[in-house]
Amino acid sequence: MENRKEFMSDLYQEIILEHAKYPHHFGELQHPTHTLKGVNARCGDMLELQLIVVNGKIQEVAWKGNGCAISTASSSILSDLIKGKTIAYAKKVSIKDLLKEMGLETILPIREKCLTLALKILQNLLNKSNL
Amino acid sequence: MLPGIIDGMFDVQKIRKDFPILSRKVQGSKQLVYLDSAATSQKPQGVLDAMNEYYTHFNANVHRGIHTLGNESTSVFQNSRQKIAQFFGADDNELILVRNTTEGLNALCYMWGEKHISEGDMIVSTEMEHHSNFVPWQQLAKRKHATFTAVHVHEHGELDLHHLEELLKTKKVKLIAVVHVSNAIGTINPIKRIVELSHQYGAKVIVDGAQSASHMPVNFHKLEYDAYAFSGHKMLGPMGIGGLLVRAKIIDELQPYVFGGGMIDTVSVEETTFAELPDKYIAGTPDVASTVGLAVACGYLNTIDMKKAFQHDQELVAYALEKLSAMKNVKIVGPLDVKKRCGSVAFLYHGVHAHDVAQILDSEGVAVRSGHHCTMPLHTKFGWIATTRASFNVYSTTHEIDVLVQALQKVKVVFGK
Repeated sequence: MENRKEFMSDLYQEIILEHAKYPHHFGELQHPTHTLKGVNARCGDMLELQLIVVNGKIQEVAWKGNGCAISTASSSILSDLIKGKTIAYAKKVSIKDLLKEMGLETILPIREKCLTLALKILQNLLNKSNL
Repeated sequence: MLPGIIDGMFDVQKIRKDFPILSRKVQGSKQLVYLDSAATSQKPQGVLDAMNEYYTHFNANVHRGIHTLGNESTSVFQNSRQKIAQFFGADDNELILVRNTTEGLNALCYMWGEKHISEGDMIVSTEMEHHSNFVPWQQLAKRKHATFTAVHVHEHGELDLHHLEELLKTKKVKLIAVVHVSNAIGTINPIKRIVELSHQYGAKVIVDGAQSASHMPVNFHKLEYDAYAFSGHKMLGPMGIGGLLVRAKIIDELQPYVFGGGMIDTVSVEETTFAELPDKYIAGTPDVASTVGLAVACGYLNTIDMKKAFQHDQELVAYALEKLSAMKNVKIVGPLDVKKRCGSVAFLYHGVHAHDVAQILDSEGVAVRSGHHCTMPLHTKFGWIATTRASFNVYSTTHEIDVLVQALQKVKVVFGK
């Protein structure tokens, strides 16, 4: 068996495993202003995203759900990226930004839905709520 | 010498030589270990050659051109159809060619369901059903203001026949849609008993045969169910061809739902009359090459002998159950009795999502399926987020299961679990 570091050079970067183990902003907010659920149709993973938006700014963010390491890490990283930022900024967050934060150059097509689950929910929520 | 057979013995190493893809290397220099045959099986060279030969030498539309190629193509197509029907012990006129199991079940839903289901009727599926034998009936029930419900599944992955009987006793049940072998948990359902019960109460039985067709002998005339759908690509044939077998007494009463060329008798502005069986339900140019390929696959399976194929499968399933259940972090789903299962072994890995398990196995060259396997009601019922499934076919080996078990050790290395 190869050692862990050697194997992780491709997909399971240290940063992804860290976020997957200790996800940031995991849980629920007491009084969210906006909530949206989404599902990764490929595997059935469900995720709920909550925001507290005040004066065009995302004051608080929380999310919960069961997912694989990629979807958990990308949700965690996305929550870091948008907390305290303006709606305008959150709207611009892209797949590229997520990949960069995760230390990846690209994602396998079959894992793309895992990577983008939280991002898609965020984008839907922002569109639906006319934020 | 016949493929895979030496002195009447089942020789998996010899069978493997007929499947060039199995010697592929993946992930650099790793030997491919293909344990995803329930999603689609690999195809022997003979199937690929036959399809190539069809397009190279015989290609012409069927039932149309009065010329040499048209004749040859038509007779190749008809012979292939007959061979496929024979493989299942059915008459040529009981086989409707479709693209796959899903299309077969949907076709039946329109061709039989639209006419026979009405308000107040009940359609019964099961909690272990693949979405393709669940959603079409659920949607039909909605259209018809009928009731749709699902037979419960016991903790160990078996159907609750008492529940089925309770439902039948309401005398509202018109149809039972049930899977022969579960694609998610491998359960072999007691189809014979289900048919007895259902017919006693006047309900028809539609069987999803996607996972049984290539794993066990299926004799359509011996079994009493009313229809059976299968996919060619799961039984060593090409993608894009499958079949729906329907009892002779029912098939002629079906209503065509795809109209056009090839399925008509006469057409005028006022009226259309339809062709005789089996053309009546095949509108448009059929996939002749795939039909040819599937017929060759059926011949290949016949040569191996389906009884031996089933025995081989049972050995693999027993071996996988033994090896996987010995792993501390692995929990097998579905029946633990090998006699009650077929084709695959699915499991949960404690604390690690199935997608991650599959990804790590892939890095070792092992191909498995992860997710809900199109059985969301079952996964939801048991609270499984996603499962990992290793599935087999005639070319699978116990050595491949050893590689799977070895590769699973890597999950522990990466996730520390």
